[in-house]
Amino acid sequence: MAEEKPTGTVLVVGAGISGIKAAIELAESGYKVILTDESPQMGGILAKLDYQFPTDHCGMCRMLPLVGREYASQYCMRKSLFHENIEILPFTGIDSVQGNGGNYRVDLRKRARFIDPAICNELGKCIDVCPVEVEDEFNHGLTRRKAVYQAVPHNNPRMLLIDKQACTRCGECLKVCPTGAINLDAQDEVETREVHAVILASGVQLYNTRDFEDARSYAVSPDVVTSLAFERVLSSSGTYQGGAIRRPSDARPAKKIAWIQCMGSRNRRQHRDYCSSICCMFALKEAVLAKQKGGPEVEATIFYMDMRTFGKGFQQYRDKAVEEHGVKLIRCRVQGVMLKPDGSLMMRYHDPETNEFFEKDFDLVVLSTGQIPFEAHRRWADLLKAPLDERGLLATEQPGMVRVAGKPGLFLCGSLTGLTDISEAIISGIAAAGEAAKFLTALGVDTVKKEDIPEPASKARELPLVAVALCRCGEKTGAAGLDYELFRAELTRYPSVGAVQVIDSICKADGEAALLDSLAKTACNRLLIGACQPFIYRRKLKDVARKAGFNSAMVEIFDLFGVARRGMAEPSAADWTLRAAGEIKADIHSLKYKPALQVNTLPINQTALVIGGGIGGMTAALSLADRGVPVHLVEKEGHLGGYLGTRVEHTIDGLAPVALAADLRQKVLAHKHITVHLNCEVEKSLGTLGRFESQLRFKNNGENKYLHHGAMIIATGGREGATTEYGYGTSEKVLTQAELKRGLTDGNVDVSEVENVVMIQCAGSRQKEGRRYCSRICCLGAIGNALEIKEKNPDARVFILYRDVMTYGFYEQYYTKARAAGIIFVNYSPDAKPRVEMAEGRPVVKFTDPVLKEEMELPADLLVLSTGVDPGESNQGLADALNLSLTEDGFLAEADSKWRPIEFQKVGIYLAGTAHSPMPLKNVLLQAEAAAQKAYTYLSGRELPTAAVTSMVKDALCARCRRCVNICPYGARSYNEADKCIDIDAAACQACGLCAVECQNNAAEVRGWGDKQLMAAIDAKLMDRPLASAG
Amino acid sequence: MDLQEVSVKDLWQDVYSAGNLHYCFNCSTCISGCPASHGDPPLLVRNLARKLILGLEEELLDDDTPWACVSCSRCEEMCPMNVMPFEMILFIRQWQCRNDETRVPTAIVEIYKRGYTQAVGVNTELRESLGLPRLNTITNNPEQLELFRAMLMKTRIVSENDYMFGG
Repeated sequence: MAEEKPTGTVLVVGAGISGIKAAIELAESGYKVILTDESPQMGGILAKLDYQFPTDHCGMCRMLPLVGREYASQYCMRKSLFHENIEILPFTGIDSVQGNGGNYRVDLRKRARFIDPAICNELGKCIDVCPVEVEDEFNHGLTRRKAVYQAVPHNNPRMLLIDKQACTRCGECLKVCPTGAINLDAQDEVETREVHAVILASGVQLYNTRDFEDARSYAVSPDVVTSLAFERVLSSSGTYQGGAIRRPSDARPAKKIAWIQCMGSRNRRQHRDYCSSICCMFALKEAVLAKQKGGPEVEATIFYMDMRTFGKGFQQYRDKAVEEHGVKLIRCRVQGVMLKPDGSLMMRYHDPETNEFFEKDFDLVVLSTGQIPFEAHRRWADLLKAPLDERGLLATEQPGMVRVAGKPGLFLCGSLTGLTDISEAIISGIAAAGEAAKFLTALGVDTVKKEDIPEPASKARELPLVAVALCRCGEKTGAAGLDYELFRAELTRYPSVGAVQVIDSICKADGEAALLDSLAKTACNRLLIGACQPFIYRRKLKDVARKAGFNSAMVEIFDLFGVARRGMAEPSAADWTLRAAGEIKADIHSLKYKPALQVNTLPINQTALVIGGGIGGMTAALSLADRGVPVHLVEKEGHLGGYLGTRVEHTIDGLAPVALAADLRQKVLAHKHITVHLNCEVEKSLGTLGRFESQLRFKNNGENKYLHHGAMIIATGGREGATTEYGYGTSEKVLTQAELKRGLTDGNVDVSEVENVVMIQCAGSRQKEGRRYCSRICCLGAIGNALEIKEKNPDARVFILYRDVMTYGFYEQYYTKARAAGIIFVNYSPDAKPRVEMAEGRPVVKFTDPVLKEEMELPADLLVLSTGVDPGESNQGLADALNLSLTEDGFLAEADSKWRPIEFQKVGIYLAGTAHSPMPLKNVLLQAEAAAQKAYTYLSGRELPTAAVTSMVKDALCARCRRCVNICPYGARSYNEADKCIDIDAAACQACGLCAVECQNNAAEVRGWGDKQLMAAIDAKLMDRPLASAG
Repeated sequence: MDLQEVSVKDLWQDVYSAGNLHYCFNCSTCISGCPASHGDPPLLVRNLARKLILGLEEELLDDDTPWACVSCSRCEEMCPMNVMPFEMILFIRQWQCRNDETRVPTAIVEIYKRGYTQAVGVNTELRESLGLPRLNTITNNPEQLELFRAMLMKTRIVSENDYMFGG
């Protein structure tokens, strides 16, 4: 017999967005995950945000798995997360990490909560009697809390704890606690765990006004708040009430609100020469929300230096904020805030548009506070004995990537890779999970083995007889006072109930055995289990029921203790029991009419198709092939490498695309699992996750080839932007940045004699005509070229005419370096673009100096235009072939820009690189790894169980109006032209029910949510009397 | 203006090579809270830095605003790029005098008249109303002021231009 392999286990440190995403991805791939967080709750920063750009509402649940969604709980993630492969340990720190790749021993410090969540009934009597009040850090001190508290107001379970620092040990809480859950002498527990890999997702420190001296001239009043605190001002679980944004000092409505950007960032003096990347969009979003929530009279003004709208859709959001919402942007860094006697906040600023100074009073000032990354990195470096790079960040194998240098099995994601927005946190989380999964595969460890319990036949057609099993979990119920005998008596009276069993602790092994035992004897054909926290135990309890011969569809779990939390403060045993019996009635009725549900398994063709043979495509292909997945790699050109891999030797941040592409090409061509198809494009692709069929058309001979595969990745890249502005094409002295870069590399552009070089940024970009978006890479490209010119010819003068320098994150250091090298930056406004005239064969550039407000002109020996990135020319054809949509700019439209950035509505197709939007190579590589991981999750198994609850069509009632096809947000419904009927993709359907609402004929229905069943449940709820007297 | 013609390359090296001038990214911190930016003409520190960077020698030579600086050094404390703007202003003043022997900054006339570049002795009533002690300024001490003027008159720049000082 083969030796049993251990189950792959990964420790994920930090339960913010990237950590949660990495944990879910690994859990979905079948590995065990330990997810810890330093704070008492999960969610990281996001728990504090009610609204996210660009939709301006929450969408956190969209990061949950879509297929096989019954494995994880479909649940509001702001409350909490449950997954059978994830062990969640909040309030847990890491004391030490020993060992090396594949074998790490970690000491986890579980901090004392002083309230045992396993015993606590969460009624919160302790909070009522606690006499100590302190600032509530969740609301950034805008509200107060007790020493006994709930860390996040919307958490469920509530997970109460005691703040040791604040607690006076008066003992009042001990007296009122009905369950004995409080132990004021509890100690931290240290536990050693062995894991194969570690993902660090612990985030970095944020700048605050308390600890940093350069904030003092701004933080002069409680009405000066940080951007995160302002989220709490806007939140109804914060201080927002009565439809008004209020200032913290006196709760008066705040009408004039200002944002000050770059607080703590872009500050060489304080050794913080970086940009915090996210604050510009954060401020724009907050300003738009302030306008929307506070009413039209709210004035929102943002003081900024460069408005860094570099990401997909960012520039359009900025335009909308300014044009539609009236958000005012002023390019000025103010020196401080002055508190006036009436409490208003005066700021003096210079408005570059009018060239005048203004002194203006504001009600509320929001400081856009950025990241302070160094401390977190230093702490990890000490703990892991890992090196820091020259910037003071943990050294990674490639800059900005996830593999920690010299530490196999150690990965970074989230803000440890540089402050990230939601989509980048998601992508880096998936990429880190992918790298960890690859590492585990190479290590040869196993995935979690699931007990294979066959699904018993449904007895849906038999006369309904419901067995009810009620859990009595010892102390909790005993103290809270459910009267089980009364409960049993009440339920037994009901005609459909065949048996009522009371069992101790169903969640434990003994209880499980007792349940199994009692079910084996029953004659009932449906089962209702009353227990606590069904979102955690649903799957496990259904497994027990299945073993006892109950079809999963015939089993429901009722939240027995949720009843107590809903409104009865001091229930007597009888009150509560009758209330619970009344509530449970609806479930019994519903269960009676429940139809049989089938869990279908989807056969998976374990082959991938990768479209695009550039660096992104090759990276994704290798990532899959290295895990044993056969890959077809399709490239429309006659060679691999793509744009960057054939043209660009070096990027400014130290990557070498040509060398990288050569290395990848060699590995791809030699790989036994990769088949390369050159000179062809995907003409048409049909099918769904697990069974796609794609038609390749070869350019040279027009031949077709058909490929079968289970998933696909689009990595088709983009192309060099074009322009006709600024005299391009009229002189060889006018060229694009890409042409200059090539010329500098191959020596065709000689800069040894040039005197003046002028570069114009955003040529044809960020304007209504042409490219509306920022191409993200041009500022860096221009700076790189300018530095190269200065290196070759220090006497040359280089002027860069720009609108906003988009050197976000640590790219800011290159901007600083460029200025230090004497490169002169000249800001221009889109209303007054530079003009170019030709004189004596040389372009003469005319512009207005933004500081001196003087007209300048300069004859240039070279005029270089940053023409940006255009969408790939095959994007439209590809979108048509795959039935995907494009953004109005011509890039492929992902499912959700924040939460599902590399997925499509259609499951099984993923996106990487410039096909998504223009981005630096670092991001292409991350996306390629992430896309491969997404595909791998589904391709790793031979089959995939689809959800039992999906939508269906009653074909006889269907009028083929196709309204359901149009309304489906998941693209799960399509019209089948051949058979003239509606097809449903069971993998894509999320059972949201929109089709059922939209359908005029009741032909669309969600299985298990039929009208009859729902009406029965509603009727039961409306019968307000207890069963005993229902008669 | 034609930069090719007027711009003196590396002017900054001549004027203020010690500092970090080139790091300036025109953020306006130095001017937004500058007391002398209220003046007419206003002192606009970042414009001085800009003229230096662009090499506008003649404009900078004729610029009187560096002499309006009140030495509060707020720009110095708040500059995120550590350009040290106050130092820059002092260097510009020196450079102006070095390069134009005939230049007599109006600020010297102010000093001669009232003992200080700025109107220090004013706000007497406001100080009294707030219960603050009377400032022991040289303006309030005619004897001392005469001595101070006599001392200034011994310097070359004042004695050779004594017509400007009412003498």
